[in-house]
Amino acid sequence: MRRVRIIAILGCAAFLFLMARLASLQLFGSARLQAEAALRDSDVRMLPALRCAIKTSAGEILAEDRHVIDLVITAGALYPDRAACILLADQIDRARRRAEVLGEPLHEPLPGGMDAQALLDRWARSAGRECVRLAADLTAAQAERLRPHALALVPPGAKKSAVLLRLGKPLPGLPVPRELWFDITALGMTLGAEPLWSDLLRAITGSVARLRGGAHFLAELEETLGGRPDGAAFPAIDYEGRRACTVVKEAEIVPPILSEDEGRRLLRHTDLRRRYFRGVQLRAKEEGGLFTLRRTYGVVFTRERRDVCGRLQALAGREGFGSAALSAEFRRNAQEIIARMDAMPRRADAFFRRKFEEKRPVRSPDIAWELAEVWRARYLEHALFTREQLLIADLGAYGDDGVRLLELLPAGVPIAVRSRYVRRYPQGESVGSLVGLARPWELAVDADSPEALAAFQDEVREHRDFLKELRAGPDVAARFSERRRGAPPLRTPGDAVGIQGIERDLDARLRGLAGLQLAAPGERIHIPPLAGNDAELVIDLGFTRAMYGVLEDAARGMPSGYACRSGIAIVMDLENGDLLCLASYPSFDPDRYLSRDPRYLDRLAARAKDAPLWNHCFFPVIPGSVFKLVVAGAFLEEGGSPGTAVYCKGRDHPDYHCPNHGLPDGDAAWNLHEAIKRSCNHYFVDLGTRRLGRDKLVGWMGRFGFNGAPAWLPPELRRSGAPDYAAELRDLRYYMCYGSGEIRVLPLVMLRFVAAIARGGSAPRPRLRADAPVVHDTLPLRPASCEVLRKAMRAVVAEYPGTAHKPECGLFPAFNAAVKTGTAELDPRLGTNNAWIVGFAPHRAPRYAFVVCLEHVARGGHGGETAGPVAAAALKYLDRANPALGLRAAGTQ
Amino acid sequence: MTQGASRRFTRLLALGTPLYIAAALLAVYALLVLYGIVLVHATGDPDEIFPTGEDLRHLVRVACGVACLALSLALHWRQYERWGYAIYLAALVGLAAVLVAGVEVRAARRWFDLGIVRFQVSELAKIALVLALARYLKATREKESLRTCAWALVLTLAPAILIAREPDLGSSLMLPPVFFAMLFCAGGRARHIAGIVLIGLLATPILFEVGLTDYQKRRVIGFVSRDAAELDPDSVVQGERSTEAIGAGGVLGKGLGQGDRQLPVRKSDFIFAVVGEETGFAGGALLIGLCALLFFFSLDIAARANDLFARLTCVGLGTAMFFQAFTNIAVAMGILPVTGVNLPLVSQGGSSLLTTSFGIGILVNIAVRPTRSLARPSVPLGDGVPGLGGRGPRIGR
Repeated sequence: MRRVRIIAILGCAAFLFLMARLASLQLFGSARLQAEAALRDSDVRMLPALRCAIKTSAGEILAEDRHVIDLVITAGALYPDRAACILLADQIDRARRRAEVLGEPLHEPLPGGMDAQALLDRWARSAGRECVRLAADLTAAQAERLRPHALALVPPGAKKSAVLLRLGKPLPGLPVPRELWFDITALGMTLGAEPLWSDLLRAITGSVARLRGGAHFLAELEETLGGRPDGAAFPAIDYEGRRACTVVKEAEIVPPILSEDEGRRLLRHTDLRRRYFRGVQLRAKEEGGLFTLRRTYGVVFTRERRDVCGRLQALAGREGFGSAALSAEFRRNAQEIIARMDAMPRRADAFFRRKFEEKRPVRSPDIAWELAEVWRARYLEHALFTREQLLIADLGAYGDDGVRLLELLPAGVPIAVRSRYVRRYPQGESVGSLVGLARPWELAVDADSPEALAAFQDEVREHRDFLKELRAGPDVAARFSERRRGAPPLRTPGDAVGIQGIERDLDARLRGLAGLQLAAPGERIHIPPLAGNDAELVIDLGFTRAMYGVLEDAARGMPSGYACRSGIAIVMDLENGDLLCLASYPSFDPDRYLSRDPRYLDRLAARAKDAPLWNHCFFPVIPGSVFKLVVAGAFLEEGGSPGTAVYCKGRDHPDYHCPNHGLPDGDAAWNLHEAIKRSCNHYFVDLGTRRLGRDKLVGWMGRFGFNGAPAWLPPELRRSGAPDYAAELRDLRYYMCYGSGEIRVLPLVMLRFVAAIARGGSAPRPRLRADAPVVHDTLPLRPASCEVLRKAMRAVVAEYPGTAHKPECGLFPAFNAAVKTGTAELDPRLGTNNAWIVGFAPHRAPRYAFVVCLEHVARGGHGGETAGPVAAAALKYLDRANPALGLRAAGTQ
Repeated sequence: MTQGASRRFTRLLALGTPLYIAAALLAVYALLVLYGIVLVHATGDPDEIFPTGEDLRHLVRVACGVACLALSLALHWRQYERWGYAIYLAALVGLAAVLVAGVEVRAARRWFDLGIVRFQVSELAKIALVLALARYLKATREKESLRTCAWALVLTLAPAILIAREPDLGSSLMLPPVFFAMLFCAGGRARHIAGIVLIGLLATPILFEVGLTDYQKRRVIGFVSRDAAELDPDSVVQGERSTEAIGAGGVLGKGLGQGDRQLPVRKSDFIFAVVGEETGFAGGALLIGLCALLFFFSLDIAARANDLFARLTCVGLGTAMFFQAFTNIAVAMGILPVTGVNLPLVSQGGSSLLTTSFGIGILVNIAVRPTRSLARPSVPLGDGVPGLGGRGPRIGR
């Protein structure tokens, strides 16, 4: 008795505990839990911040966010159950095929963020009926629509209570496209067991033979599908309370005489699945009463797909969609969607085979990422029925016609209006590498770097927690507004983030503040995003574009006859340091790059070695003879006399070649002026190694700004630094004195040095942003030294045998310019050189300084001959823009 | 609690005489079954009129359950003592057979397909174990010895392991508490029980590694640590949703059929979440109270029984029902990790309803049939309640 009582007391305690928990949940925690449930049901999301434009001082737009209104259609909304079937079948098929083709399990995410291996694992484990969770990329609204139909999806024998549709979570940190981020919806369904493949085939052969006499069955099936669907009306699916779609015809292929097992196996026939899966369904027939419930199954073909197409075709064929162009676009896109629907299964097969068979190599990692995106997008085509298909892009472009079109659209057709911001780069390739590009944050993350990915995941998680916290507390709007102004910036997936060029450097300035949208039953908050600030650049867009064209020609070998692989042209206004031209070839068109045109990306990938995504103006190059100016400057500042004579043995020198300088045998004694004019290697080797030495030369290089990263440049111009010679250069070899070997020079540093020579020691600091201050740096160059160098540089153009004196250099006698040419041998066997020309104009009262460098000039092209015409083209443009300056010599045109 | 007070309390609760206890027990049983019928309808399509196909099927199950109850009353409970081991052996054979020939549903073989219904043998095994243990513990002389304890443990573990092999960890975990309670009531030493519990706890890590399948491990880890919740998001989400649903019910609930329809397995394992959400604290407390009454009545009957077998059977059956109800409700309220255990008499499961009804029948049987000592076997038995099987077979002749 006592012991029974003890048990009773224990039980009593347990029940009291349950009661207490129930009370705490329902009486005290009810409000909180209701709020949590509401949070789960409510749609709270941040709106991407608006990004501002990049312009030139003249007001030309280099990059801007443009508001675009699209008309989209969700074909899958017409037939939600089919959409889900397609998704499920595709995901599983794809995962399996991948594993087969590649011979190894792959952990690449499928569209919607489901891991293929995980899906396969689950599938394998589901020997019985296991809930296969499927990450379908449905929007929340679509999921709502799907929910009532989800029950219809379940095979007839399955327990319907096992079907669930709920909002799922994306894999943490996975860079899924923006539209997938919040709207991933998981569709769970219960499926029957799948027997082994051989069993299956045997069973099917058996059942087919039993049913219709073997092979005739498939022929008959095909015939049925092909021509004569003796269809009965199938009730239309209710779409948002309206009868949206037309009657779906169906044909009974096999009358309901099969058992459930047979029916399933028949349906799983490979050919059936691949060819006709989408139209073929099991239909159950129930007979008997409560205790003798007997189900038989038949196979029914429904002509759903054709019907979608028919609907769209009818839509497309409708006349009177506003203007003719609009009507044409609508019809074209509708036809394309129809064609894609029709071709989907075939193309899916072909595509996968090709992709895995080819495995083609791509050289540049960032372009590989883009291509991967293209492939990814193609994967997503399989989810065609649940994704919105673009029917009319940019409706606003059609003005009133667009509005009329909206009015004309029939009710009940799932056509929706979507608004978005698109980053546009209207200036194309010429400034592409300078402006760079911005893309949604989640795509901007470097997926290959674990640190970047981890940081991104952390930030996303923080952002999610913040939203949750925000939703739970009171006064959502005020708290959000306060937080978004604070640091660190509140970013949302979908925010454009600059990843290249000016877009990246001025990211903080361009980016705005995120907005908030909250939609819950009985509550609606909309805080619009705020825009950032415009950025203004001082470049002359027309000039840069023209110079890009000239560089493009130069790369093809026009007019010098020597082709090159890449090149830059920089022109600076000496009065205020404005960089008028920052042309770099090759470049890329950010619009086309972001449009993921595969042909364009392939083209870029083919040029990946020349780094088309980077502006070469900011990277160090082997200078060649233009470096002699630096040696000369150092010599003069060390107190050397410009009259110092060195006897040049010319071409007979054992270590290096020195041209014959226009003399029959090349032997002569030169002073500094003559040596610069003729670009005598021996003279500068003598200056560098004998008269200056390593320490003095490196010291002066440091004072002129050539060592290491130029801290004085503004960040948007400082992408890279030259080597720090003070630390790295052990001993000075003879070839370094004429700018070969380990010597690298940043073009902008060279530009400032030339500007200092031109202006007697004081040089404007290069600037790109219009709001940057005008600063004049004073370099340690005495005016007298500058005068010597200026005269020598003028002599390069104007006196025989100056290296740019020849008519094919394009400078003499037309322009009042002073230059120094440079030719840096890259590969003596191939004869590739870097061809330089630096200088200023007009030579008496310098106004512009310029640097032109062509890299990898083929067949031994020299600086003057190959880079000279490019510089001449620049001077020609400047002269036309500003004829009063006297850039052109008198009497020339 | 003094002797007098407890007696008064017992009387107050059970209205005095055994016959009334039996009537009250049957009333509670009827209320619970009624609750179940209402809930099964409410979890179906709310727009349908009452007897839908699903409802009809449940009604048939209820009818079968009532028939089982009547059937169990037809025999004197001594017959159960007599056939205890046989029933136990039959259950063991059934459990072994179901592993081989059972129907496979959701990767588990737990059911026999009997054509009309699927029968879950593990439900029968519970009653079989109670009967066998009661018989063994009554028969053995040294109730406090370790040997008795060990044999009883063996009796318990045999079906438990077979059930766990199905795999159905939840059901197999329902058996040890029955064993503890019965051993305790039979006079087993608390030291031994504590020792077994200790050994069980120490062996948990090994059992965890060896005995559990992957998904079970993930479920447990996911419950213990929220960080690991991503391992088995489904079950964690189930638990959270169910807790939220209960919380959202408030005091009076949202009304029948108005609950969260996306809740998984809401007709069986998470039926308490439906109760909490749709009928609120009032309905939930009522259900918990009814379960508690069922438990206390069975203990009350145990306390009144003079025979050790009868007493132990009552304790065992009461504990089994109590523990199952407790687990189910605790899972729904997020106290325990998700296990697939029914709420007896209320959930949709047919086998559970049948066997629980059978168990209630045994309880009523013990309550209404006078306990006769075996010293006077010649007195005819079965003269208890008219209409409920008065023609009992005679034993001891």
